[in-house]
Amino acid sequence: MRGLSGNLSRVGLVRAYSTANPTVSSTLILSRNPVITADVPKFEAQYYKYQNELWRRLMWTFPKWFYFREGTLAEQRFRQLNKDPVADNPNIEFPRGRPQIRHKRDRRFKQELKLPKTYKEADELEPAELEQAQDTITEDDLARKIVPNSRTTKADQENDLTSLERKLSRTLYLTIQNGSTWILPNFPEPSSEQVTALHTLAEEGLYKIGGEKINYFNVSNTPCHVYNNSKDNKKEYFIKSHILSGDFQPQDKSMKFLWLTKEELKTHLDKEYYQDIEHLLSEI
Amino acid sequence: MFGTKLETTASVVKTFTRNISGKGHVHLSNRRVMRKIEMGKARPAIFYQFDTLVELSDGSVIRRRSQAPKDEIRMITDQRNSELWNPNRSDLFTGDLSTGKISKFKQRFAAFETEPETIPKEEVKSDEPRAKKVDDLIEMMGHNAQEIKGGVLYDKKKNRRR
Repeated sequence: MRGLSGNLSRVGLVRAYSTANPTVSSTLILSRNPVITADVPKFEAQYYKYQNELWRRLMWTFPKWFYFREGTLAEQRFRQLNKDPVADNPNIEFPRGRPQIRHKRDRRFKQELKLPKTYKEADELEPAELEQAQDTITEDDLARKIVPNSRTTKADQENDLTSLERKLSRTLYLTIQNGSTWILPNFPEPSSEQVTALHTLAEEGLYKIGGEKINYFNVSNTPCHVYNNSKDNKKEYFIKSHILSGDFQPQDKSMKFLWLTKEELKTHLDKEYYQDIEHLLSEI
Repeated sequence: MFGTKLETTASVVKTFTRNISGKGHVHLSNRRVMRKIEMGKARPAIFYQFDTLVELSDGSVIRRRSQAPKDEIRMITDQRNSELWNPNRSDLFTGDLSTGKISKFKQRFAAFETEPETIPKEEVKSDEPRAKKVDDLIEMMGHNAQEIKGGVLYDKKKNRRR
């Protein structure tokens, strides 16, 4: 049975190709690489936290004498922030264990140090000062506090799928709507007599549909994959490239496009088409 | 017991056969034993490290560990606004920040800066690779060195006869 069905499908394939030569086309996998570090799953986050705590516990005592010379202002500021631990006294009973002080550090615990800041924290300021501080702090102030940026952007909150600034930790792929289905942008060879190179075909096509305000990096002129589109009698060669800067601005107002992650591509693309190109897409 | 006895006899035999240590004969103390690594002493050196936030010039913040006592570093010039790393950007500030060591040095010793000598084009055109090589050599010799043209090759045999 199995052999028979295999034979039948092979016959079908032969028939499909024997009707006419398939048109060569170039499909562009235009990806936006992750901007920030990958999201860490909960278990991994716990693992890293544990390892980090171990690391902190095994760290040596901070060589204060090396970084701060005695009698300097910097040393004084550092000393004000980091008070000496309770000294060991043989005449006193310590219910929670006797401190082991080496270089003014209790060796039983990890060392936690504070460093002098160039600004004042909000809880350090008096209410009157707080208002004044808010006025004085400007964007250009070099002494302002460094706050890590948010990992989610405005586009994430609005769920704007056309924005390049969504899902910063993931790779996004450009998809366009072709009739009722979503595909990766595909550009057929204009004529069989005059042949254009696949990567130039992809580039010209991209600039035609998305405007010329795209700075992109073509990974290779050699296609990374071929998809036999038996429905349209097409051979689709895949060209990989990364968008570096600029934006995809559709030249045709009616054209719809999305920047999607791998999981979203699975729901948008045809099942068979997705299965064929799945291995080309990045998990991260 | 036996071990020690054997060793002593062996050494005695050695002294009889050859009492001067010969070539390639190295005496190593047999008391050099590898130090035993004690419990809890097998840890690598982990110096104290601070969790540091580094803000790059474009506003992105990176968290890293650092041994230096600074937990917030703000970069003025870095790879994000360097022309070298951003060849396609035209909106970068290219002026002189005069913050680095080199620009400070240049500021201080700008008066001593000499313009690089321009080589006449005609000279370079004729026999270009050789001329360039000679130029390099003369440059190495110093400021006032001049190329000696002509002359005869030094002959050892001839010189000896004289």
